[in-house]
Amino acid sequence: MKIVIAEDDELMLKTLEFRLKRDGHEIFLARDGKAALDLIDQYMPDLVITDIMMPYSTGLEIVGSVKQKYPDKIKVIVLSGMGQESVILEAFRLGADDYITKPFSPNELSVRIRRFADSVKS
Amino acid sequence: MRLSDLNIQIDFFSGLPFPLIAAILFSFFIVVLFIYILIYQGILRARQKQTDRWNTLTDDMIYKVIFHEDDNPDGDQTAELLDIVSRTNIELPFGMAKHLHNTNFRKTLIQKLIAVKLNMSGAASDNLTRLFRQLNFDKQVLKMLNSSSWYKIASAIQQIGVMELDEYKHRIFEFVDHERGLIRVEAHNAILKFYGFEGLRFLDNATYPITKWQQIKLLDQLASLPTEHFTGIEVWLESKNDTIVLFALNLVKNYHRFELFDQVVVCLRHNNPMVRQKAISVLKNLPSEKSAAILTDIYFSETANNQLAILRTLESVSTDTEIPFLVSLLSDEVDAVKLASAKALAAIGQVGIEAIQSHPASSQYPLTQIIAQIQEEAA
Repeated sequence: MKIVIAEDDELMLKTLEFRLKRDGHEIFLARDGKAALDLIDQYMPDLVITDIMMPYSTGLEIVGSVKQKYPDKIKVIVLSGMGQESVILEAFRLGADDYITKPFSPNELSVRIRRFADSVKS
Repeated sequence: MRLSDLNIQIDFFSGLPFPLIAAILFSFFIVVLFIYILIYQGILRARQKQTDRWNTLTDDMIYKVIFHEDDNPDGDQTAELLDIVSRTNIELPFGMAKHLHNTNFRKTLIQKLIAVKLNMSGAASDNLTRLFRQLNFDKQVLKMLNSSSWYKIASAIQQIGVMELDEYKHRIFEFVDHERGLIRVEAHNAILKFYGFEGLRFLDNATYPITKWQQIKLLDQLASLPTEHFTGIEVWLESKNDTIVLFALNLVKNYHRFELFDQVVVCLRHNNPMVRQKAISVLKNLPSEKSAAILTDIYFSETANNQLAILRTLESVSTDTEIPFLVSLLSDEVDAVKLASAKALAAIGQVGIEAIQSHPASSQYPLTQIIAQIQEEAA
C-alpha cells in the first residue's frame, strides 16, 4: 500500500517509517501539512496517517482536504496526542476513517493498517 | 618579554605615520578574527558531525528497541517464547558502548527515549523501559534525585514517571510541594501516572499555587484514566490555597459530582472573585432547581465580570421564575449585560422571547440588534 505519513516529530516520523516499511508498504514522509498535501496530490496514496498539530496545515485541514478531493479513494488515519472529544469528533466529522491517540502501540497501528489494506485489495 | 624588546617595538611604530600604524593594527585584528572564525566553524562542524553520528546511532537503537519482539521468531510467537525474548538483553549497536561514557551522549539518548516513550504504549513502551534499565540509567536517576541541583531533580522525577520506574515512586512524594515550580509540576505528573486519582491526595497539603496550565495538564492526564469515584474533593474545596479550590471546582464540573452542590454554593461566598466565578460556572453543570434563585440573590453583590458569569449560567438554569429579574436587566447601562440577559431569557423558551419583545425598549438600539442576533443564533 502507498502511505503518506505527516508528522513534525522527526523521531516519530522515522519510527513509523521503519515499522511500516517492514510491513511492506511504500512510504512517503511529510514534515508539515503543506508538504503532506503536495505528496498526496503527487503520489495518490491509499492511506494518509497524519498528526494534528503541524506547521502550515493542521491534520484536520489535511483530513478535510483529502476527503473533499478524494472521498472514496484515500483513507485517513489521525494519529495524535490530542485526545479531547471535540477534536476527535471534528476529525470524524471531516471524514477521518480512524483516530488513534498517542501513546499508541505500533503493533496495533500495523493491524489497523492491514485492515485498510485488505479493504483496498478487495 | 623584556623591556628592551618593548622599546624596539615602540621604536618600530614611532617611525611610521599614524594611518599606517592603524592599518597594520587593523589588518592584524582582521587576520586574528578570521583565524578565530575558522577555528570556531571547525569546532561547530565537528560538533554537528558528532551530533549527527549520535543521532543516527541513537535512532537506530531506538527503532531496534521498539520492535525488539518483531526481530525474533515470528509466526509462532508463543507466550513462553515472548517471555524469553523479553528477558534477553537488547543488543546494542556496534560502537555504542564507548559513547555511553560520554555525559552528553547519555543525555541525548535519554531525551530521545523519553520523547518516544511518551508516544508509545504496549510492547514498544515496555521495551524502551527495558533499554533504560539495561543501560543503568535507572541507577543514575537515583543519584540525580539526591542531587542539590533543582533541574537534575526535576529531570529525575520526569524519568521516573515516564519510564515507570516503580521502585522509586514512593520518593516522588517528597517533591510534590517543593519550592521550585518545575519540580512540583514533574512530581504531580509522575504521581498521577503511578497512583491515578488516588495520587491527587497531594492536594491535601499543597501550599504552593497550581498554575492554570498545570491544572489543564492534570485534568488532561486524569481524562485518560478510567473514571472512578475518588474522594478528597470536599477537603480541597475548603483549602486555604485558592488554586486548589479552583482545581477542585474543575474536578466537580468534569466528574459531575452532584453530591457536592452545597459545597459549591459555599464557594460563591469565597473571598477570591476568581473562585466565585468558577463556582458560578460550575453550577451550570450541576443541574438543580435551587441554582437560579441562589444566583439571582448574589447578582448585585458581585463584580461586573461575575455578573456576566451569572447571566451565562442562568442561560442554562433559568426558569419562568427568573423572567422578571432578567427583564429588569434589559434596561442595564452595559450592553453586554443586556445581551447576556436577553440570551438567558431566550433560553427559557417562547415565554422568554415574548418578554424581550414586549420590553418598552425592544424597538430601540441596542435591543433591536440583540433580538436580531438571538434570532439568528436560534435559526
